[in-house]
Amino acid sequence: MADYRNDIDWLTPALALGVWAAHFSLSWAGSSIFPGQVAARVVGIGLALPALFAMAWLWRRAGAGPMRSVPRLGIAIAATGVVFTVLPALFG
Amino acid sequence: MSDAPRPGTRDVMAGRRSETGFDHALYARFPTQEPRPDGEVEELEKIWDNPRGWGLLTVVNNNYIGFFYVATAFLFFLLAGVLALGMRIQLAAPMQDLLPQDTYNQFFTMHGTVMMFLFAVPMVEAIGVMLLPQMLAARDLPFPRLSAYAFWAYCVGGLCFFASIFVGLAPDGGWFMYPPLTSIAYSPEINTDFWLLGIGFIEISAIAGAIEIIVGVLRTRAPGMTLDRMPMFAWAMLVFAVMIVVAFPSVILGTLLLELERAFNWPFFDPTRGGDPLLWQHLFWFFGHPEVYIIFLPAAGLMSMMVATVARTPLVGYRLNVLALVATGFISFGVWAHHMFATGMPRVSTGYFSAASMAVSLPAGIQVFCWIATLAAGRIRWSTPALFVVGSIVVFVMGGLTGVMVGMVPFDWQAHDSYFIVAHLHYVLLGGMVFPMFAAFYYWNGMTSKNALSERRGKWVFWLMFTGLHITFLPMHLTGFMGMPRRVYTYLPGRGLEWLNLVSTIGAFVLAAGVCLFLYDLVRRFRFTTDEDAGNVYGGGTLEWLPTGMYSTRSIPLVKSREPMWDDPELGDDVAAGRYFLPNSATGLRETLITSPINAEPQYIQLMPGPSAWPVASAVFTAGFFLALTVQAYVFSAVSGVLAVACILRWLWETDRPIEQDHADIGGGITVPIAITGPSSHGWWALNTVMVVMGMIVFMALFSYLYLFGINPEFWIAPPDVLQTAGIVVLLVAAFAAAWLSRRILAAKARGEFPGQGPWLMAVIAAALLCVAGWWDWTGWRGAGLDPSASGQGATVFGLLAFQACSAGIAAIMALYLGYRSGRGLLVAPSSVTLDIVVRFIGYAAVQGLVIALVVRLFPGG
Amino acid sequence: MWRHIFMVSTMNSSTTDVFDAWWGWPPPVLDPAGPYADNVVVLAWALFAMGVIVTGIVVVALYVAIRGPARWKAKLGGERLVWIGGVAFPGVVLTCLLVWGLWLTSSLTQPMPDGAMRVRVTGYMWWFDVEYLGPDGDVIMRDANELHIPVGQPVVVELQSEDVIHSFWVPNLSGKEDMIPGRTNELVIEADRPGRFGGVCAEYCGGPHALMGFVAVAHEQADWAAWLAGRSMTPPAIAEQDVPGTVPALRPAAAADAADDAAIAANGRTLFMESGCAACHRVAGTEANGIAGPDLTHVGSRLTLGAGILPNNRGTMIGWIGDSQSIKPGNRMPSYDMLSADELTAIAIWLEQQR
Repeated sequence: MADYRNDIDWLTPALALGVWAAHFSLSWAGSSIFPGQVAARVVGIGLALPALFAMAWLWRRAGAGPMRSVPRLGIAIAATGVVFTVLPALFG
Repeated sequence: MSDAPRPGTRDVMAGRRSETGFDHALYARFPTQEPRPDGEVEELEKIWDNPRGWGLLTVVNNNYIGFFYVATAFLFFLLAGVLALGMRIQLAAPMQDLLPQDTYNQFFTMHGTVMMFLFAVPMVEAIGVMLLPQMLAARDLPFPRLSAYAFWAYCVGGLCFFASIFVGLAPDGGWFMYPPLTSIAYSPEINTDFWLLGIGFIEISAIAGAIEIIVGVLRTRAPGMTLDRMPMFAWAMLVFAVMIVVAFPSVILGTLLLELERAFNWPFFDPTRGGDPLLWQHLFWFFGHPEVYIIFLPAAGLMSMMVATVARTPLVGYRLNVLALVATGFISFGVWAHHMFATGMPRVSTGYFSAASMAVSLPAGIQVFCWIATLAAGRIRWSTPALFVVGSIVVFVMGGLTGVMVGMVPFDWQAHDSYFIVAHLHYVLLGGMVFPMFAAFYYWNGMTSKNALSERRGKWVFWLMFTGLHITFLPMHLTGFMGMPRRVYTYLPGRGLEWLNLVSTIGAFVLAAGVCLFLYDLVRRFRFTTDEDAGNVYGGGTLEWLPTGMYSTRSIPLVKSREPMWDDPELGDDVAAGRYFLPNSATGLRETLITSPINAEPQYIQLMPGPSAWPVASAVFTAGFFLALTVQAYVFSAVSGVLAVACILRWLWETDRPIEQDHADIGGGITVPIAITGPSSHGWWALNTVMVVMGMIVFMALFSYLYLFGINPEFWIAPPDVLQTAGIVVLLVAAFAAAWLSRRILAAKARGEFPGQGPWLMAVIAAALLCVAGWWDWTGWRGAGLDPSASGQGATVFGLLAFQACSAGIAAIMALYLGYRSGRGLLVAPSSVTLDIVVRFIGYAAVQGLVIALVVRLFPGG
Repeated sequence: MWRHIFMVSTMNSSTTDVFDAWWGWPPPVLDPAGPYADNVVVLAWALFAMGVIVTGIVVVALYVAIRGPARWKAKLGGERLVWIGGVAFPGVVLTCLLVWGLWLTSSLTQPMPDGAMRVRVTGYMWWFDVEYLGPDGDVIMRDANELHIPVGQPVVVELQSEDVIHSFWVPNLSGKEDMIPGRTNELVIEADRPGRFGGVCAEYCGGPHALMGFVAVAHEQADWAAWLAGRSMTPPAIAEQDVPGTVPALRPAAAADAADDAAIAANGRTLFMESGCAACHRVAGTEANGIAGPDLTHVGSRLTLGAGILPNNRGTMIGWIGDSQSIKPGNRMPSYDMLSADELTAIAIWLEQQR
């Protein structure tokens, strides 16, 4: 018999992308408020740590479900986004 | 919630993992085996029958509105295409006078504006209105009159807006409308106002459509169609609609601010008085870049569905593809300022936007490789849609790669605003939206036409368009490298640009020849129909290929897989024989089945409104209001505005009907309630969406306020007294409490009892408190010496207060409308959709007022 | 009208080569003339190669997916392709590109040390005002639609706008940067070889935006010093002015008859002052002190007229004064078609002498 339940964890990737969005907007706010100052980089790098921790937590959470590929891909994209966002603070 | 037993709550164990308490074991009853009584189909036909002749103007059914919508959007595609040909003729040789400078500037402005606002967004929305109910096996979209209103407002307003080009009054500031070029000092004519007001209400109709689509996708799916089984197009439209709701408020706010600056001299964008031209760019592109994905995602959804059919195998990586859609939706909101790399932003900021621009290409790549993998997994059957699908993958990838190039800041500094960008964006939009659209025209033509389109001509159409596209736009990459800026009405001779431009012009005509051939084919083969259609020509596997009439499918199927038509060959016959849900009209009225958002468990029957002249009338008056405002016919505008509101209220009057019957059998012995309020009602979902839209407008306005403070703090003055602020807070809290009380009074009464004057009076009191608080806030700032035309602070503060005043005014109208309904005895306990919506709106407006008052009065605090 | 003027003037002109040096072929974006454009070209070619390779991969993958042997199709037809092609491969490529791009952005926007040469370029609808700044930020020379720089020396260009948003772009020398009212953006350019490089306004600024250009000229250091020395901001004392005191009466007939340029020029000067030109244009050392239009103090030595759209010679000058609205419709200067050909010639001759 067909199953009529949605088994995919859509929440985890949405949360991961939400973390990316928060990290991105706060980093941008930092760089706009402190243009050309070290503080801008500190904000971007400093916020990346909690963001990446959140990703790691989500990754472990997603590991429990039966259908892992979707949440994990979501986390992978979001984490790549966060890492990309840190790069300007490091090298820019 | 009604006091009747919820369907299927007997089986506690099965209900444990169910979303609404519905017992999934009940699904085993379908398809039902008992014969259905005679006459049910005839009754459905009668109920869903359509007015003819002039009565067609009053239709609200998605089969018609969707078709009108698609046809109108395609008309604008052709019109904007003609403008493009005009420009290409002008640029075929240097220093031509064919299109004078002013005309050319209007042409390119209109080309961009019409293609983006009047073609691309409405077209994908139109395809959604047309296809979604069928794909989800709903009888119609949840708010048919809202669709009709959105369509007519768009159609009337769009045509009037376009007509401005025939009298030389078309906007000429570019589709991006950067001030100060579009400020009153440099654009004193009304051309710019046409853009601002014309676009303003086209945006409103887009948001109306988005609300419809969000609620439709989440609440009207066929039972068993869990999120995991939705057609890709439905997923894409869901993400699309959410993106519209988040992105469009930004440009609505932008257009409001620019119009306020033009009309009342409020200096939002004037640097000499504490404004900033870049504020517009932030507001515009915060909408403008997500807009590209708003256009692309639905087309990608169409692609995903057509790829599966063309390859004759289910889409590979369905879930990854859905995730790619969602990820694109998120990340596309982090790329807006890559249109502003050359504005001198701080270097680290440019880096962030460059990084997000790289990140957003990941999900695009995922989708492309899902399509390729699907083609590899199946065996392609060549047809016109197949050609367009494969062609569009190639074109879109090329455009995407130049997109990665311009996402690199140093390269963008060279390429920005040159013809390289013209090439890039046309590759993306043609490959990402126009080609999939043509594929979809061929693929879904069988749903609305008696005859299939010609395959032989279709192949010509494709090859003409495909080669024309490359001949036109490939050379433009080089033209850009040769230093030719965008938006130039001519160029100087003797610099090697002649040949490249001539080639582009020839290519444009090849492309146009393809479109003309398609039109010829339409004339020859296309015959509109709702029931004798050509059918599933290409062998698709989703529900829109079920046998349908005006009422959509006879019964609403139980969905067991993503391609039910492939997996259950009997499905069509069973549905037509009424062996599934709602095989008849349970109430004798238009109705559809509302299901739960995640697992699509049947919840209740929603009554649907039928044909009505009021949506079209209110749309015409809405358009009249905006257009008369543009040409400064204020009296006519005011009259139109009042009439529009009156028509809307009149149309709403009929939609919340208390009916005797409160439960109905939907087949298989399952009984569900009829209509409902509270969190599971579809009206509640729609209202929440409106609140998100308004909240986003306020959020962007507060961003503007803080942004201008950051740029020009020296213009800021101290806010009014804190005591006054406290008083305003008290008033707003009281308004919120009164609204809450109104609902409590009604809920405390026994079922069916008339609740007395309490509920509506409390609502009116709440609305009055809102108005008083708004007035106090306004006069308080005037008393503190703030003038709206004096500074960026004055402009943004009074802009916010004006928005709050509008909200309070709407709340007052709603409260009085509630009072009138109460006086007519239409307000009965324990709950009423109208009261619910009115008091929730008032409550929202109170919170909005609180946020506005507190932020601008306490921060930056002078 | 326009075509006629253009053809005649270019054919008769010895400055036709100005236009050969303008943008066009070879594409200036790919033909760098200084370090700020040089590195971007490397990036551009790398990106171009990336684009061609990835397009090739996709086309080949499509071909294999559609026409390939079953064994290959089976390899492509699964989610593994999505993970490799859609996630891993672009992830690596994009990370590398992003780091390169960020590093390059950083190296292109290093702040200049104090004492670097500075020029202020201000955008107007539809021309560029150019002010050479001294060490203290004072204006030492004012010019229009032409930017002269020494080779091998970074020059800070301060970008401003007096009306709407414009954008400053000399593709041979660097990327573009916007000129925004109320802001000052700084762009550094440097030429490593002498030459004339075309520039344009890249941001749509209404009306004849298409015809708003300028020329950047790079000189060898010594030539540049000589060029600057010949031009001074300080106006001569009133006593040294060429025609002191009251304005002479108009002598139209004399202009035609006079054999020597000096007399014609004197007449042209009078016409210039009396016909309204002086209300908008400034000519240092004369009573012409308008600020709405380009400074004409050195107009005679400019390479172009009409903001970079015509070579500068007597014929084009006459055409421009007499019929600027046909040449550049919508520009802020009215066509002086009420003046006779002789009068136009006289003004043109006098302006030629303002070097």
